[in-house]
Amino acid sequence: MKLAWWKLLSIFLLFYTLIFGLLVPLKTGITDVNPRKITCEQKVTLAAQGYNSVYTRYKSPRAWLKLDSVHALAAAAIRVKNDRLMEIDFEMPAYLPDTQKVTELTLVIDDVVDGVSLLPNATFLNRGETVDTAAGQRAWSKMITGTNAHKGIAFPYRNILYESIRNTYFHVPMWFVMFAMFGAAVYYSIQYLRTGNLDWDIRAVSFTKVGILFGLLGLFTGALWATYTWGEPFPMDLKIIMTYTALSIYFAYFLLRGAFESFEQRARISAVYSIFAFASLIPLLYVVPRLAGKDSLHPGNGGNIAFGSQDLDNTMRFVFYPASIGWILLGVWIATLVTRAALIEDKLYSK
Amino acid sequence: MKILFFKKQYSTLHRFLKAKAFHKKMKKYISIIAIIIICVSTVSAQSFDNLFRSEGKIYVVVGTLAIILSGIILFLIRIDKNLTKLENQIKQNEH
Repeated sequence: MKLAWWKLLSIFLLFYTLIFGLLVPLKTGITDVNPRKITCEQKVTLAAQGYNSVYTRYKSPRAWLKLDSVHALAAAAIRVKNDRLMEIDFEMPAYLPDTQKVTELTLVIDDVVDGVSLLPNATFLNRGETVDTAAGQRAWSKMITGTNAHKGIAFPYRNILYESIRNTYFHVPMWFVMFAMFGAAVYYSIQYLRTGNLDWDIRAVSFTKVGILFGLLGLFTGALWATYTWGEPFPMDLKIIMTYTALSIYFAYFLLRGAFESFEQRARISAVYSIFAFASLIPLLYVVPRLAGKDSLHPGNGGNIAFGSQDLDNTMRFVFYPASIGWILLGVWIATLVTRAALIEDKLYSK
Repeated sequence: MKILFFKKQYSTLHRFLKAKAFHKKMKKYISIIAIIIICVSTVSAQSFDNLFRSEGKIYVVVGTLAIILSGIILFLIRIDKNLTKLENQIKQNEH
């Protein structure tokens, strides 16, 4: 038996996804900082916990506490304890450039070896009793310049996500496969309505079945991912609610098919239903979550209109796009198996 | 008329027996699943939670792959069953 080229391509792309998606390391990051609360006019020592870092090999480490895009404070001294622990001394000035009572500071660590790593909201700074913004401006005037980039291939480090950022190559393509399957079902439904050949109806049903399978896989993998990043398996996110709606519409497709005795009537009505279901799928999953003013938990929804450079960097694109194609081809492969079995069944029983 | 009546009665009885057998089978499956869920949730819910949060949450990815793989395998088993049924039908037709 000779495998078709696209089946071989699917195998190759999925192997590529597994190997690179799981083996490429994350960039260096900071997981934790202690203490989380500091006050002005005080000498503080922050203990920074590194992730994927080699602090002992750092040549000339630099560190800042960043207040906003123009205000930062450089570290007074840095002591490296081990590869994952660094103690940074800061001499906090008496005044701040603004009048806020509590300010969140971002810790930035930079070196040629690992490149720049940062932790937003690393520590909270309480201002003193008196306010002098001009003196604050002068004290926090140290700009962060000449930071190094991470060397080598690595995926972005994100707090909360950590290594689970790799789920982008497994959870997200599930929905792409679902879309491809339902789209193919629409094509076959239209073919059925044009020709009246029941084989097209069988193809449409098989592809819808596999679409539902991948939709459910997307839902369950998303539930696992959400439990350990967003705190609960099924948060009240607009995109998730719309997904329930979309999947319910497709479950109703099978209920509808079960309601007819005549093959022709069943095929005709379910073909029309399939077209309308797909037409409602696009606004449900892609338009409504973006139109909503409220921010969505899903990146690229409610705010910006696509995956921004913040969500999917270039290294991830090298795995994400092949992964999507590979999973879609696997979905088509499974769907053709279902189709072939169903066509044989049809020939066998219609005799 | 009599035969028809008998046939109808037989079919309802048959259906009843079939339903009972199905019920028994389902009961077995449900009890097995319930035992597994109770075991997992009571004994190791905390350790599962710790596992998934350890090592930079890499086990979330492992769990995701396990879900995808088991879903696809269950679906393939369904196709396999269907094909076995068709093979048997073809064999029957040949005889």
